[in-house]
Amino acid sequence: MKKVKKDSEHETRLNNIESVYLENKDWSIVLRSNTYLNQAGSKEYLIDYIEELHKTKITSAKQLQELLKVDEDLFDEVEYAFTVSNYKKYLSALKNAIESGNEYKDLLKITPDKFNLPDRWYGCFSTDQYSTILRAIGEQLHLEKLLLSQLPGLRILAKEIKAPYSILMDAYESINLKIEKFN
Amino acid sequence: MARKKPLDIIASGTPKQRIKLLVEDVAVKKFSGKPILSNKESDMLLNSFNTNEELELFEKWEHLDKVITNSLTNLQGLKFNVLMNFSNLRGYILVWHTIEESELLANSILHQIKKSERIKITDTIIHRNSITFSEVEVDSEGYLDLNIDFPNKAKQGDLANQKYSLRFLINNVKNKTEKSVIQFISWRQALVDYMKKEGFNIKTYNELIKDITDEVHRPIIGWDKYLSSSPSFLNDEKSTRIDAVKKFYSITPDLNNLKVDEDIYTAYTKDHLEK
Repeated sequence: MKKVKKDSEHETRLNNIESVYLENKDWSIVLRSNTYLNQAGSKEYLIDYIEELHKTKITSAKQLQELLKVDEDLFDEVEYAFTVSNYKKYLSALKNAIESGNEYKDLLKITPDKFNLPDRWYGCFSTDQYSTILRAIGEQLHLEKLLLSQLPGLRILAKEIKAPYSILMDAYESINLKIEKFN
Repeated sequence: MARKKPLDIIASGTPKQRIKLLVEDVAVKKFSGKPILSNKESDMLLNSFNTNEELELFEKWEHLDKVITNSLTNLQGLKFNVLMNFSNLRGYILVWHTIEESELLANSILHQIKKSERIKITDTIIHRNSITFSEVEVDSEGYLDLNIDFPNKAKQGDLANQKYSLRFLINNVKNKTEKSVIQFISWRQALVDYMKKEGFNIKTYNELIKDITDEVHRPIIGWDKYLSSSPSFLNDEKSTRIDAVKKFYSITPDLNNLKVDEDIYTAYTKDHLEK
């Protein structure tokens, strides 16, 4: 799996989490800290940090809990961090696949289990393979309503990624529902 | 170097400096600018050409001024022809844009209906409706496909059944637009080269040529989507995948790729400038 790109912003955020940990030497304090709870992308940074620290690949929430040495009452938070982090990496892999010229049938081969995700998961914007593919298409092909007049039509985009038109319509609807809800 | 004042040029300038000042003043007056010379200065300058050589130079520049002014008028006319073609092309592009948006609007509604019902509905209504310059088709999932690029199936001479696609019409207008731009840049280049060859370097005329040229180089439409000169749909957010289909939409002539036509250039030089 492709390693998450570590730009300077990523490094800074990793450092923020690291500094809270180094100050307290207790992951349960980190998981309850404002730095962790309020920082965008903190779940991914946490997993990346633990993986680097232990030179291992984390494959389950249970394993993460063991490495963090936190009590059972924080397991939901640990599981959530594990799911969100994997989901973001899965979404990113789908978007990269679209950008590098893959077709819809290729996206179907990128399955959630390769990112340690179950068939269905909770707590993220998308909850399964199909809805994540729609999100990746919607975001990568900029199907936001505001941009649509400046971008290619859905018909030609469907042809470009060799997807049924209904997939593009689903992606279009999905991303715009998200924007409408947000507004 | 500081520019000489008009009175100094009138009193002690070379014949070339004096004629240039005179023509510059005439040019400004012709194109509604603030005159450089007062009436008195203008008369003094006119009366300063006395020797045969000076009179010869005066006559030559008088002729050049006439030729170049006529040429500038021609170039202005050609500019309006180019802009008219731009406007025509923009109109067709907006029709295309509206067709694409209509397809999305109709399909967004159809998307709310389950597939079997959708196919039944679109199959029924498709025969009752048509959209100008498009073929309305139903895809395998029951969505509308407003096709703007299809062959004209009518036989040659069968005028009643000719059906042209929007793409065909846009390409025709594009070709016409390109021809008018090529004529413009060829005439313009002939004029610029002629002025250079004759040493006719008059600020007002140079600025006028620049203004006319700038107007022709303005984008035909405000969206990069249709501009051939733009390789991306979005300037700030480049996307290789989306830009892979950019060439389908890049329909405006790319002025950077249009070159001077030697025949037009030579004919214009011969018939209008060196006549």
